[in-house]
Amino acid sequence: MKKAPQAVVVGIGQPHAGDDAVGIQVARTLAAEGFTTCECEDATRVLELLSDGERVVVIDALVGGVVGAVVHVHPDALKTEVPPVSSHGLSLAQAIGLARTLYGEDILTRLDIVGVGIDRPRAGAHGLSHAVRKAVAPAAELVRRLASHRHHHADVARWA
Amino acid sequence: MSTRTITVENLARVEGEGALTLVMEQGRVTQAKLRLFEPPRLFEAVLQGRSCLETPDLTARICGICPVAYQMSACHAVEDALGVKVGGALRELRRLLYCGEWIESHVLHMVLLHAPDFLGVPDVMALAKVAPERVKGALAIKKAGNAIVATLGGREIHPVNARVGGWHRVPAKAELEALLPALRAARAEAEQTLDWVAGFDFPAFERDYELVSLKHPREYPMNEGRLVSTSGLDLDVREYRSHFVEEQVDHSTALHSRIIGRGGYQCGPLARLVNNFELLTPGALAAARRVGLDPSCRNPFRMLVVRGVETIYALDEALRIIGSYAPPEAPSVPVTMKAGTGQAITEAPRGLLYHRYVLDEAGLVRAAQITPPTSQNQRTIEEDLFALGGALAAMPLEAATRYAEHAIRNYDPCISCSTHFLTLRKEPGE
Repeated sequence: MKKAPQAVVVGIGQPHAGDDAVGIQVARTLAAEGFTTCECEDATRVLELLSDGERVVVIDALVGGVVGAVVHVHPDALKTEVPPVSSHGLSLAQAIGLARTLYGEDILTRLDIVGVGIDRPRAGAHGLSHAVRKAVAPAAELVRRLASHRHHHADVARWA
Repeated sequence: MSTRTITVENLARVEGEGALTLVMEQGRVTQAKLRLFEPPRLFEAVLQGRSCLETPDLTARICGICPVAYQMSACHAVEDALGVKVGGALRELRRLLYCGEWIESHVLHMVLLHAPDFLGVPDVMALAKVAPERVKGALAIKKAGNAIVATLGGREIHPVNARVGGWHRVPAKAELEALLPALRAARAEAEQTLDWVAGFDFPAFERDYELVSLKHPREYPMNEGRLVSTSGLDLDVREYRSHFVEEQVDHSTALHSRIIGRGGYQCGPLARLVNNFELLTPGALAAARRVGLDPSCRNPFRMLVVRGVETIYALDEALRIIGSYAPPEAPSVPVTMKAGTGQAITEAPRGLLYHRYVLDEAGLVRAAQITPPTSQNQRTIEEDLFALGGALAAMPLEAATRYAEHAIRNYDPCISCSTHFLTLRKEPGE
């Protein structure tokens, strides 16, 4: 059986906003292992990668859940009521919504989203809180597994 | 008396936090205030005491859409103070970096932000359903522009490779040539995008603007040139403060600029095109003529089309620069600190960006002035809304609100930072 190509790992976050940087930290962990990664402050790059036919695993901070929880998120679970686009970039929900409209629902077979629960971003803060820092290793493990193997969302289990 | 007030609490699809209040009485606008309430960011004060060599990277942080413009104006102004001349391939690479920013900024605004106004849809999500190929094309063009900035600048947003005196590192010829396929594809896509936007319905609205831009004897202006206007200004950029003044107004955290003794003016794509029409590349010139643009244009709604022509120009120019590129012997020229005052204006996608620095003997910034294009256009935007008063007064509230926002977005105002939903409030007549 032909091995599926490794996915691009996209870490979304703001390095100077406290726990919002957790996606960046996970991406850097995997970059050190040789994964193809990119770091972004918004999700425009996700749209570009999907339009290029790449398989993508997004790792981002999640507000509103259990702090430090690692969650495999189905794209439909993202907030669908998206605001008008800003010229500063796209939210993840916007990027995925645009990709679905422009390239069809099939793009979902090339997309996984992993979230790490945080309390809230903190402007000007550097470094992760203790609870979120502890989540970096399990989040990296999940992203590593997803990036290495093709799967379908029907197989997705909720992680916590 | 019939009084109607339109309040847009947060302007969407513009850069940053702003709002609009229009008061209409007896079928005319009696008050138009573009309220920019984003807190002052005090960059000019932050720069004081810092090395002049830091100004390109510090000021780039003012904007995530046009960081190149801030870097370029800072570099040129500091070099003016220090007596540094940057030429040859180093200068060409700066122009190439600017091409990348013009491409990605213009196409983002044209298609993702402004086209929805013309097609009567709320945003790009809805636009993607009615014109998916155009949105795909715009994303491809934007990506090509971003690739230039990433290759030359080290990353797409807030690039880090430009410096006073040139560059930290210059690319190999092969690195730039790798950009060519995407740029050529974007060039073809840009023609289609231009023809698409040129087919929109444009309000029959014109004003006798004083259009101010740079003008260079041999090239469509980006980094250098004299400051000229359609009313006869022809200045060295060092004379800027003798002819232009910034003023505080009570409803905005941004200063309003005006020409001393004259008033408001317009800078940006339309001003550049009108003052430099003959300096477009042959391909961009032909495209402009095909869509009916010429130096007589004074319709701000057609700035959308002008951006399309400038996108083609920037792609042509990028292809030319890459084609003729030969890496320089050194990535920068020597820079020696000394006391002095330097000024520069470059053409940000949205218009003139003025920087002025006073340096001490060690090259530390003692005073800084940064005048961005949006503050220069702010008075003119308000004057446009006054002039549109009759049409706005005749419209239902929702349509008038949309139309007023549409008119503001002609200027692609860059207030900076976040964008929000609109909240409308209608006050009863008094």
